[in-house]
Amino acid sequence: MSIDLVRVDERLIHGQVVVGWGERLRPQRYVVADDELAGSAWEQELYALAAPPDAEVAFVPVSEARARLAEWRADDRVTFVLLRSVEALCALAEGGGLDGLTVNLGGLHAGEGRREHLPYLHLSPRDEAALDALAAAGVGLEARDLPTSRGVPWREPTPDAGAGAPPPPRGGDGA
Amino acid sequence: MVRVSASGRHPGPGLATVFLRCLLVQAGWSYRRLIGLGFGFSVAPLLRLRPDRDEAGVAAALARHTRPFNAHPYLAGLAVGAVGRLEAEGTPPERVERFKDAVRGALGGLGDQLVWAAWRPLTLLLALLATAAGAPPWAAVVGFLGVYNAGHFVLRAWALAVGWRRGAEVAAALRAADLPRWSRRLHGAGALVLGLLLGWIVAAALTGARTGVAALASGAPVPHEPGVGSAAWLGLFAAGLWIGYRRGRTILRPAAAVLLLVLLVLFLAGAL
Repeated sequence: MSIDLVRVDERLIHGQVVVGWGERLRPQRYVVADDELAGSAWEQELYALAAPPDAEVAFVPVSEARARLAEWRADDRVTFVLLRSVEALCALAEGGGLDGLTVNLGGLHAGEGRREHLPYLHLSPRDEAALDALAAAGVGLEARDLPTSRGVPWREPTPDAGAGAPPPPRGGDGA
Repeated sequence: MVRVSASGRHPGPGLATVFLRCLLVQAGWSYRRLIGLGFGFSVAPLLRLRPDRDEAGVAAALARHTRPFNAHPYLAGLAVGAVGRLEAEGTPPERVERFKDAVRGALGGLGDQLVWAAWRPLTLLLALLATAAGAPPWAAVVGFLGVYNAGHFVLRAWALAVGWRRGAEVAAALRAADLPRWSRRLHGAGALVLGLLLGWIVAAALTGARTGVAALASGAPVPHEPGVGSAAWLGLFAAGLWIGYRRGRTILRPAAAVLLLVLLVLFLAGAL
């Protein structure tokens, strides 16, 4: 298994990921799963500047990332998969591709309609419901900005969270 | 002073004003906005160059640019300059925001590596080395502040100028500047100075030298006769250089742990 980090962080590739997690896990590949960035060369160029020069950086649509999860998990190379939003995470998790992995909730900052869970984790009601549904479906979820921080497991879902919550949004990255 | 002129039509304020504001980019830091408030304060003079020259438009742009944003404070000027340029060219707000989102990660990561992990430790170690060489403490402090601040002023000025000049095309300028290479060089220099400093402390403790570097610089006699011990030290030094060159940063933590262990043993043995 060589997907060592699946992280939801609206900043995507940045210092916490490259220095904080990168120096701990030494990834050889950063995959940014984002529909808009996958088609924007000028933005890819800027984001890629933050990655270490010897690492591969790939920008792919979420659907392609979902199709290639098994390939990356079987690969020997250590891979980070980065997503901008909970919505993109839900799209990636369809089909059970994240089973057995713990998703890192690393950076969703303050915004309109978002409630603070941790200083680095602000979620809308829609995000909360989607995370509840993912947790009910068996996806591991943990809030943690840096490897040196204490990991905070996502709340235990109520018995009917999976059935009562709205279904996870599909197909987009919500950028 | 460099005059701001986006297209030759706008006289505008000088970049020096923006540069001075950028010195305060972290003054309003908070967990909610990070350096967003400082970013808005810094870019405000450039927003007046917007083609519409409309007060309401300027106010709306200022509100947008005080939203959460983060970057290394010394490189934030690059984003300030580039965003000012984009605004002056009438770039749609959505594209400006996407530019800010895309550039912040690079400015954070590159700045952390260049300044916090390389430049600051190097200048601090040089000051310690100067003290070991016999410089008065006040001179080492003044020297450290002078050299460290000169470096970050140059970096800030470069960042703002490049941002303003290149606008959305800053990626090419950043790639050409190859800041990671500078980081590696400064990091290597810092590791070398650290090795020299610790090596001399250990050697001075073992041989009873007064201030080793000062003695060496003044041509004072080496405290003991060259022999097997000196050859061993030279061998260790050469091996350290070779291992450091081959392994780079991956060896830093184990090497630091070994050095601390050696110092602890010497301390416990009463040699220090």
